[in-house]
Amino acid sequence: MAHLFQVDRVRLLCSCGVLKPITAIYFCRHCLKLRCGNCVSHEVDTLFCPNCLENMPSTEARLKKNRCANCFDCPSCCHTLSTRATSIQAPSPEDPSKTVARKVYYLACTSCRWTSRDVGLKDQTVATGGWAEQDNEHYKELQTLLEHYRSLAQREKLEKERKRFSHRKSSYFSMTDKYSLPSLIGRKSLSPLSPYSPKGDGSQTSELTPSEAVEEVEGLPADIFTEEVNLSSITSMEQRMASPEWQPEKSSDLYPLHKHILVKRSLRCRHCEHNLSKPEYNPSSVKFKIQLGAFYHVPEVRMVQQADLKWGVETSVQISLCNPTPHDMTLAFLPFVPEAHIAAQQKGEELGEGGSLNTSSLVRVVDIPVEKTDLTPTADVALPQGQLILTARDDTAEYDDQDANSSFNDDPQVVAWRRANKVGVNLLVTPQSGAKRAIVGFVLRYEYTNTVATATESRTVTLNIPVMVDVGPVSE
Amino acid sequence: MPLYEGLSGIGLINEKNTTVVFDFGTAYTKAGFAGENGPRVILRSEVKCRETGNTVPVFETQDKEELRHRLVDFIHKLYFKHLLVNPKDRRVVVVENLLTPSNTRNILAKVLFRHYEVLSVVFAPSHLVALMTLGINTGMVMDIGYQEVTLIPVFEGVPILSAWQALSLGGKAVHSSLSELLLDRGLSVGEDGKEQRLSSVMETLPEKVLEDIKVRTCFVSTLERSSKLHSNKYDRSIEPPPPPPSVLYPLSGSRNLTIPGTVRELATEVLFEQDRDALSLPTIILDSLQKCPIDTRRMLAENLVIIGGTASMLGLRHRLLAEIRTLAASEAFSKVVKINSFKIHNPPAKANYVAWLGGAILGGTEAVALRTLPRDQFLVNDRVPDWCDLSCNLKEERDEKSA
Ligand SMILES: Nc1ncnc2c1ncn2[C@@H]1O[C@H](COP(=O)(O)OP(=O)(O)OP(=O)(O)O)[C@@H](O)[C@H]1O
Ligand SMILES: [Mg+2]
Ligand SMILES: [Zn+2]
Ligand SMILES: [Zn+2]
Ligand SMILES: [Zn+2]
Ligand SMILES: [Zn+2]
Repeated sequence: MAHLFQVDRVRLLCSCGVLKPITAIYFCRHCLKLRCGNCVSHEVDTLFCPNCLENMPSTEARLKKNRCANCFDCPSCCHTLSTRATSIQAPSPEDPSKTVARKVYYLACTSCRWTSRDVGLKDQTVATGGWAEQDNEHYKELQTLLEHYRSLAQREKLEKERKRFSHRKSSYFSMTDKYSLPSLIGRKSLSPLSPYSPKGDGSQTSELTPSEAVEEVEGLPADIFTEEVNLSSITSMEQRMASPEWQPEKSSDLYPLHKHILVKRSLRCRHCEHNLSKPEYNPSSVKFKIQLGAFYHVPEVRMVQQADLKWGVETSVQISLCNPTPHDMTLAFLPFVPEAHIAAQQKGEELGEGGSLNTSSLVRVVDIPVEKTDLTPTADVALPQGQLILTARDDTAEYDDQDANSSFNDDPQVVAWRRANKVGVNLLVTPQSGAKRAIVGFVLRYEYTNTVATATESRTVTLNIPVMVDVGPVSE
Repeated sequence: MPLYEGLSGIGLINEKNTTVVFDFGTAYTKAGFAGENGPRVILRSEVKCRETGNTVPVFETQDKEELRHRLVDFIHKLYFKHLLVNPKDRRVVVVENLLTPSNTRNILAKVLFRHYEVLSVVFAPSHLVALMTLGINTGMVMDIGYQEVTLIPVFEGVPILSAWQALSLGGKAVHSSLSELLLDRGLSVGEDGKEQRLSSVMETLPEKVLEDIKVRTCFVSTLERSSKLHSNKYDRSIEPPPPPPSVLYPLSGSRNLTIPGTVRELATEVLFEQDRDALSLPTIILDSLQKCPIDTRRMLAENLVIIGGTASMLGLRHRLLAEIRTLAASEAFSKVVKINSFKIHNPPAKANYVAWLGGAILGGTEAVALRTLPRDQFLVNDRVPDWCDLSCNLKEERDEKSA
């Protein structure tokens, strides 16, 4: 029966055109639309080290290249390194002729047993920190290059501005003159290239000595044709790329890696800029300050029973509907016509969000491309006519088993059962012949009591949510 | 010290908005910040497929929508797992091959501008910016990556587009050659010590295993040995040089693989073989020189810049130089290209991120502002306009070719 709880069986059509299970969808209370990871704006909320669970301000993270100063990963297997303490005999500081026991620390991997001693790193006298950072051997050179190109670019910018002032017309010529190799390039204007080749008289800017090409490069090591290969002494691609700047080739050059920090993300609706999800600040908390999951706002549809489905045979299939809101809800099923829906959607966007509560249309929204999802059903469905009432979620009522059927005048053909804020509904599904699985689509139309409306606006709005249900496998 | 380095000290760039620099490769993507000395991350260009959940290469798809989805997911990972900054309203430099199909770059731009709302994008031609890491502006730049090798001569900062060369020789070609050789000559050793031909136990080796074997055991042999091995193929009386030692390599399970020394040496020969259609790494360099104006050739030949991950292979650049010199002296070439001096540069970076580093230098200057494509301009008709594509014609030519 486990498959009935597979969330993927029932999927909602997000406003961006992607089908997702309700657990992966958000509901923007301001736009009154479904949003999902594909169509919201993601933001870095807080940064923290997953090992010591310390928060790190973003300025510090930038400075430390997103790595924790105190925690390390194993350069061999990427497991977290632990600090080991041991004592050694060392000459006493007071009297060098005597030795005293001193505590020293080194880093060790509990997973692959790599230690900082393996690669000849000196033990530390303090428990945390103290490990020297690796240098980029070209640091100076690169700094000079950067400054060189900066001043060139600066100069070029000034030149360009000056030219724009003096003679507007000749600017094109001056460019091509300067880099006049038109015959080489042929068809294309040269001007866009200039920033890559600011020539000019290098005299003012150059402390820079351009690289000198050499006649010969290092060949193969002399013993490569005779020496046995010791695989464990050569690093793998993963180990090399773990420190991209150095890419050590020998295991003996591996260096402890500062642990990379993680982010908690917050999500924002691109249309109204409201937060849809915002995590709590504390790194060890898995809770949210804001979490507008569709789960709390949209009636949840679930498959209840697996029916035997055959091509062309009408079969009754039971689904359940659950009202997660604290307000009663009127609900109806409408046929889902993908084309019509998409057209309506586009029109809605053009009209500036139609019925949404987003009144400040000052924000210019950058839309993502409309997603083309396969929305063709593989089974026909006879939807129940008329309206259903879903009672509000009432956490106290959860436990009394009183059957409320009588008070709703439900059609027994349609409503199989009622329990608190849930209702069981029968749908008649006829799989198309040839279909492997029966997929049906319908639109859930319901009255949503919105929670952000001002007193002047109506408290309830009608929402239409397209739903696709994978009813199950079909046989001949 | 490098842990705390950066632009902040210079104060030229508002540190809050440090430009992000990407070099998307078919095998590995390099990402980091402008003005820094190396990429923050070099990541396999792979994502989980939205439909199947399998790990798939980002760029190996013909379907536009699929490529867009993969890029969306991949770039998400880059920003929120590695760079940890907000993409929105931040500048981006994309280091890209001049030969990238315009389709791919339009989709990439769409993802950056529409999904991530970046402020602006600069498309920096990889061969050009690679020269910035050397402080020079003339060079024969060869990028040997995964999918292919591309070569563009640059003279006084201007790419000589009419002399571009591209061949599908790179990491991938080495992997398939290695796979062929191993299936043929490799021995699988079971738990009981019994040896079997590898091809009788498995049909293929996973790409990652091939790469690992390549990186840890293979190398590029010398020209001298290679020609001896080559002659031996046709004339068995010529004694082949003794092979390097074989390697016992652990496969999954309790199986081991004996990699014969010959395989370690021969797997990379595919980059230099000339018998198929007479094209190889050394020949395209000379072919390209031949297409360059006469008065540029000497300078170009004395400024070879070999970049891309495959250039890190042990012995590769040494062999390449030897081959070029021999070839240039050969009858066929010496008549047309009278050049006998070849020199090579040593960039201040690992071969696979030289182009990225060039982009990081460019991105750290105000030169980017001059060629930047702002979001608003892209959004007008969702296309990267021609003016920031300095090889428009070239690309059309190539798109036609590949179509
Ligand atoms: N140290 C090394 N030794 C051998 N091969 C290496 C090394 N480093 C990287 N490679 C190989 O280089 C290739 C990747 O190079 P690079 O990162 O330049 O390619 P790319 O940019 O992803 O590809 P392309 O430019 O073709 O799109 C891979 O096949 C990888 O195995
Ligand atoms: Mg590349
Ligand atoms: Zn969505
Ligand atoms: Zn930590
Ligand atoms: Zn380890
Ligand atoms: Zn909204």
